[in-house]
Amino acid sequence: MTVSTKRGASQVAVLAAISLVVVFVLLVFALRLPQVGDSENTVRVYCASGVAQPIESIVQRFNEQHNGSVIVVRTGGSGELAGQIKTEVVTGIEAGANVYISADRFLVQRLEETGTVQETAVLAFQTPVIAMRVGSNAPWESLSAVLNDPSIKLGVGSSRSAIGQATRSMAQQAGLLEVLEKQKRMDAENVMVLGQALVSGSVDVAVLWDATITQINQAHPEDVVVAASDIDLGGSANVARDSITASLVMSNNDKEQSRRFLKFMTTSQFASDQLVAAGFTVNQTEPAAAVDPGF
Amino acid sequence: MNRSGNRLFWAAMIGCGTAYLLLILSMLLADFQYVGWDDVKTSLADRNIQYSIWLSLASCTIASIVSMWIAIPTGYVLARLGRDTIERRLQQRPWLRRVALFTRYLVDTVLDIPIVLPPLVIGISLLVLFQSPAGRWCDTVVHSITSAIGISQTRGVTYEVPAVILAQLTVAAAFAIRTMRRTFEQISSRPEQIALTLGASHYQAFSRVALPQAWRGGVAAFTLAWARSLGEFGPILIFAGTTRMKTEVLSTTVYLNFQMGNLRGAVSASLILVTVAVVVLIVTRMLTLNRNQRGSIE
Repeated sequence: MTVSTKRGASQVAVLAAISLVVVFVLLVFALRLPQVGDSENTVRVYCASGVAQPIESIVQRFNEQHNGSVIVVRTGGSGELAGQIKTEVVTGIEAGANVYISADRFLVQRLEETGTVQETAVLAFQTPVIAMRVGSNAPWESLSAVLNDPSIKLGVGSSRSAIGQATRSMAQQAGLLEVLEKQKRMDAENVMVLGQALVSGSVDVAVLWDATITQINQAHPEDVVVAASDIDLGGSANVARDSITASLVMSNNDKEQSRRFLKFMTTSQFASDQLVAAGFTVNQTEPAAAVDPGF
Repeated sequence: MNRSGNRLFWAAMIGCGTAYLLLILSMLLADFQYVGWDDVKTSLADRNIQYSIWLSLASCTIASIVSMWIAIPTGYVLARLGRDTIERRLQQRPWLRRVALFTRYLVDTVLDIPIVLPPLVIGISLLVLFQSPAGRWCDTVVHSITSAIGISQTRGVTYEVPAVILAQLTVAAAFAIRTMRRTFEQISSRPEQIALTLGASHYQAFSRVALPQAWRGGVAAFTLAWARSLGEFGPILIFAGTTRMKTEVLSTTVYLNFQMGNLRGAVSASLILVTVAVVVLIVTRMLTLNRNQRGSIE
């Protein structure tokens, strides 16, 4: 009994030692995987999902040309990212966001008012359109036409998302907000989730940004969604046009590097080309008739 | 009448299971129909996805092994200090017995918190914890250790690879503990008591008598922890971020592709995730089956 007991005990010790070695080896392996560069001077970007595609190319070019260290840490809805930034500022996270790229200018304005972000620059513009799958033949020429047909499965962004606010702003102007709230089948957290719902057939029609349609089609071998029409609001279709902005986050450790990146995004031809290729409009003035939806 | 009643009973029982089985298979079939083999091959050739596969495999294995370090002793203690044991040992001291029972109930509940909490809450809690003085000290220690062993690209825990492992561990360990506790509860403590009467120490009784009997439960706990880690997403999103080629694991790849409007890429990554999970589950099932059961499968 004594001999076998000792053997059993030593077997457990050997097993524990082996597992310790395995954990150490795997840990070193995981930490040594070739990662994107990160250092004290790294600019950490939080990017709205609707603009993440061109921004990743811009980041790559900036790092190559300027020996920079910029990484996109998080993508998601503009509101979701703003919430995370606020949490980081409140809790004092050192490794938090340095640059916030948003598709919701009202959200950015509110963050500026509280001093959470500063030095905001406009990168591009996007316009809401009624979108449907390629091959759909229904005559959805206006928002009222969509809302008048109860059989249509309509998807809109949630009131927390930029596209959702823009959609509601337009519906309110047209006196259709109440009908829209009743008729909608989906409240998506961000525009890309809404776009995917349209592609997969969960909804028949969705109000998307024009640039989102371009990006979704670019991700597929052939076009899958198409803009049925601009939203007809009696000549004020662009009223809810939103801007893509980039701002410095207050708790930024290395503002110089972040400013250089911001300048590259706003002035370089490459950045402009990438944004245009992704379906955005650049080099235009801020629309004057913008309406704060106030949702 | 009796025979037809039995048939109806079995048809209902099998029907419920079959409906669920069909749901799972239909989902997988829909995924396979949506993307072709070419899409999966393209995904596998992508550097980002290769990185996320390697990081997933390494981080899940680390989280599972560490979960077992926690789960085996904790599960053993919870099983051996059960309600009956406490009541028997503290029969003469009712006040102390009540305190001990309450404490045990409390510990049991706290250990289950990661199972019942929404995953995002775990991520937020970890994020806040690592901004406390203790958390910042931990960040500094990890940075010092990684720098000392020549890994300069890791600057601490938050938003780094260690955050991925910690997020996975926090949830996986709870599942492993529950499995190990159940395993030890099903093993009679009598052989251990006999070993003690023959002069063995508690450690010897545990390592020689209890642990060998619990190996099958141990493999099940390890598998559960591994599978849970592989599917973990919410805490990783908040605590580790979703940086490509840095904290990107397979679940993050699905999310990132989806967020970028690349549904085919997201589904391809999902299929890779499913394949990895299924391979691990099959291997584990084969390991845990005894020779007779394995023979009947073959």
